[in-house]
Amino acid sequence: MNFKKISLFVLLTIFCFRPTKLMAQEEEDYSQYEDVEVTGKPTKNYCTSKIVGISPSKLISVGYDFQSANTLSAGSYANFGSQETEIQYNSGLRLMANVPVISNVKWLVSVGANYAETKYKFSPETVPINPLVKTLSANGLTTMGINTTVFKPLNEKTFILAQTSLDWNGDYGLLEIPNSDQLKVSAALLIGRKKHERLMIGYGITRTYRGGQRLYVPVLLYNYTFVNRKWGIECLLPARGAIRYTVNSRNMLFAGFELEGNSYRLNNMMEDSPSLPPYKALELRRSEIRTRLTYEFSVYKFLWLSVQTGYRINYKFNMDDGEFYGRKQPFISENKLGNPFYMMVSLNLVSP
Amino acid sequence: MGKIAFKLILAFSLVGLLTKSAYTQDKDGDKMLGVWEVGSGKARVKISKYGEKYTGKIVWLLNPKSEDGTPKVDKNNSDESKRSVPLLGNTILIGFEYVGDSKWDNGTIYDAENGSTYSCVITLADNNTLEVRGYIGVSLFGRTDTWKRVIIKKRD
Repeated sequence: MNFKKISLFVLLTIFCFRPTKLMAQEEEDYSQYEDVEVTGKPTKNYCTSKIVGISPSKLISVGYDFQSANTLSAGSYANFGSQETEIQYNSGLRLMANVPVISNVKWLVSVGANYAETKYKFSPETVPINPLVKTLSANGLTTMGINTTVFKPLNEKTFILAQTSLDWNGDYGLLEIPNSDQLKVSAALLIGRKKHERLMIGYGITRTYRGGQRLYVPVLLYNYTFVNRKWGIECLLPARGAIRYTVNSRNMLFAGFELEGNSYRLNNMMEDSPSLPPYKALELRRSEIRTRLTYEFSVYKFLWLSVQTGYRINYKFNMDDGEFYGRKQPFISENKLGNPFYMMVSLNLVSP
Repeated sequence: MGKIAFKLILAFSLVGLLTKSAYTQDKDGDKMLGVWEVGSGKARVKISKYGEKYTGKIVWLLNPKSEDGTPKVDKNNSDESKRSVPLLGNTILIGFEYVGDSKWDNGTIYDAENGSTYSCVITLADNNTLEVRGYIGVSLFGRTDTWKRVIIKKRD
């Protein structure tokens, strides 16, 4: 009798505390959600700015660039002689912020700011005689800028991408206020197709200083993730290109290159070393290719660390008088930089 | 006697007002309940209410199968033990509270495409449109998706 009562009690208890919600969920017939009617005004679908598997874009980045020992052969100009020097290392901060101010299905507008410096640590035996060596030793090269990027999807497949940046490049330090004559304007305009969720292609034109001076060149955007989702290609040619290997969604490896360059107004150098004939606007045309391997991984949630190492191949470090398009005159002086290995580490807040 | 009656009427009125306010709040909050299609059209999410909180789970996927023909699972989840959980039925909206002004806050949204969970605020733009904003840290660092309400067609 007691046994029957206990059994009844146990059965009742199990019945009362049965996981009803879980059972309800498990038994839900999801096929009922296949045939639906969209309410309200019919909506137009728009493509997004990303493809599946692409590396997360950086909202805030704090980095440090270090280049190993190399040489600088500073050419003669005006009444200054040439000088052979040894650089122990180059280093500098790399800061970047990119904030989306409008982010919805129809528009993606972000504004950003960047700061990049390259300091030159010459060997102790180097006595700066050549004005270029002097200013690089004292000031290094700095780029500070602001930029805007607009991604405008026109429909499910087609999009327009526009980018503008204003950069102040020169031989000035962090605490100096750059002048308007150091300002360089770059821009790019592309039209593209997001063919499917793993492929995005765009074509356009860019006004760029990556080649060391103002250039107008075609630009190609190509982002692709292979079917296996492990491999991918991320390219914005000629600026950069990389093959991506996704270990998992929080660990990524890249092998690729970046074309880095700018035209720097050397105001400090001109002030320190007045020369004959009196040059009015000395511009240092720097352009180099960085071949590189990069490992990016999530340290904590949206905080990613990027470790990059590679070889810097400099192919332009010459001086012109004036900012102009096309080559109208020979360089004022021709300088040659050695090619060092380099490493860059950055901590990044990445985008959702 | 008159004083007691007055106090009772006042007490009942207050209770009545509070109940009405809570009822209105509940009614407004419940406008988010239902089935919604995400902006890309790749998934439908059913929003339900448990206690005072709103949650949402995936009830339909445009491409429910992986390339090998098996049902899609939450393979990008940072928690290894959850990587075999089917995406269909997966809860992606958790902990939302109605904060008034057609807005639900204090919840999170899970993005199965990269295994990340974001802070999220949801706004009812009109009765059939939700603006779902996932963000990290502050709302500025985020992305808004527009979801449309869908009505399940009755089967014959």
